Amino acid sequence: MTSYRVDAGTVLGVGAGLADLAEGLALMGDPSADRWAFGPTATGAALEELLGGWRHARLGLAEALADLGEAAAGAGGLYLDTEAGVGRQLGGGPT
Amino acid sequence: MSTGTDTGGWQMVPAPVAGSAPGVRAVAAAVEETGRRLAAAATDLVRLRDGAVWDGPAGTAFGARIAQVPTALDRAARRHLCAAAPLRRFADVLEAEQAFAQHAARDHADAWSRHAVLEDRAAALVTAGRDETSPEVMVLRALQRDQLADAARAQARHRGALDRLEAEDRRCAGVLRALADDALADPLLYRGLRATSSFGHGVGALAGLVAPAAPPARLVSVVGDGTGVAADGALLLGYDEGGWGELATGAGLAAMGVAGQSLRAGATAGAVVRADGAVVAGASLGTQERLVAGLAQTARGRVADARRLLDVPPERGTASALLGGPPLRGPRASLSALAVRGRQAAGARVGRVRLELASAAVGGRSTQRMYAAGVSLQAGAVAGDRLRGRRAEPSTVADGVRAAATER
Repeated sequence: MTSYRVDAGTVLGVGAGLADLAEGLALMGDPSADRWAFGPTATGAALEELLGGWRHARLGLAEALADLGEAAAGAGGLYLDTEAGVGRQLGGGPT
Repeated sequence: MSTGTDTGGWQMVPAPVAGSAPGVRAVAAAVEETGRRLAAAATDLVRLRDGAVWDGPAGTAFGARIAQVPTALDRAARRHLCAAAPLRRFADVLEAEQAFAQHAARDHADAWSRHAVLEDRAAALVTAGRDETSPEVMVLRALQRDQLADAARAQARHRGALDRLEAEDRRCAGVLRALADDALADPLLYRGLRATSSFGHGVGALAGLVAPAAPPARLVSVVGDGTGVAADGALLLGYDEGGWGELATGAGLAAMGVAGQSLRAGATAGAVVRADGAVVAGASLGTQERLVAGLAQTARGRVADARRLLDVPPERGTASALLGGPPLRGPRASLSALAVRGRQAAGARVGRVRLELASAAVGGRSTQRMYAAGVSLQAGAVAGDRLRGRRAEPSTVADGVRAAATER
């Protein structure tokens, strides 16, 4: 017996989540904006390095997530089409 | 740390300790929240990747697409999550030692105030004819020495507070530097190019502003922005960052003595919200950030279009809901309702849908939980390739999604 654990809406939810995360990663901006709270400490500099020193990987990751998110948009539609086809095959929906 | 004592005169005044413990705690909270979000996304993608049961080209393509993303997300989450606790400890120490140092500074100032009062009294006595050997003046001098001793002790306490804070600062910075030493860290060459790019364009922008009034600065403008453009070229070639169009524009403007950065700043004007919720100036974003953000916004727009077409309540979907999420509708009712809406949007071309179903069936357990995520992602890409280049009337929901995205 066929069973579904996900539907089109869920797939689109995944896509939206991934796109949001991708945008958040891309717009992380300049970590030095928070430096004021630390004063002239080594901790402030180290935190700036920690948060800002992975820019190349961060943007690559954001791009990958955006790709996945966009693919999910098409996936939601295709999945709905597929569900419709399954419904017809099973006789569960109008033909 | 550069805090210490202000040596404006022979009376050394303990300086206040810079920094804000509440501010550090706010940063720690934001960093932790970002880490949680990244970790949650990594968990979702791991479940997607490991839970996929689709066999065949679709599954393979899906797995390849996800492949390293969870690992990278995990590392990014570690950077943020593991930084929160050391930051909070640093904030506690900063707060305690700031208060201690402030108290010591107040004692120091009080001691010197009392010393000044005693000095006035001693001066009055000397003016009245007493000398330094008189008992009254000697008593005042002894009291003054006590105040000096009090001031010295207060200063030592202040120094002790600074020492303890510096020790915690070194410890916390060491932890953060260790966290930053991972596979995500930018390569040295990349950092150098980024710094050169920023410095070059920055100098160009600043010098360009003063060029009319200070002719020598015009040369600096050209040289500065030329340096940035050269670094941009290296970034583009070596790291696939930026765009040829922008590079060409920047180079042309730099050659004319106009700072290319001004155009870039104009293009990036406006505030943006970071992942941790803080608002930063858009001008601080580089080209690549904007390009990737554009990709993400496009993706989000397409998802929104799809939702509108499918009439799916937005609150239903979360990344974590794909597996083990909220209960789904009954299969028969769900399929029936979706079939009606799907056919309304899809039109006549169901053959392709049947073909996709047939493909799914060949793959084995094709209707298991990963069917939509695996099969449909691949199918979406294939359908997009088929449809690209022709604007036929949408015949499937996916066509409609794609068409809507194109029309926007």
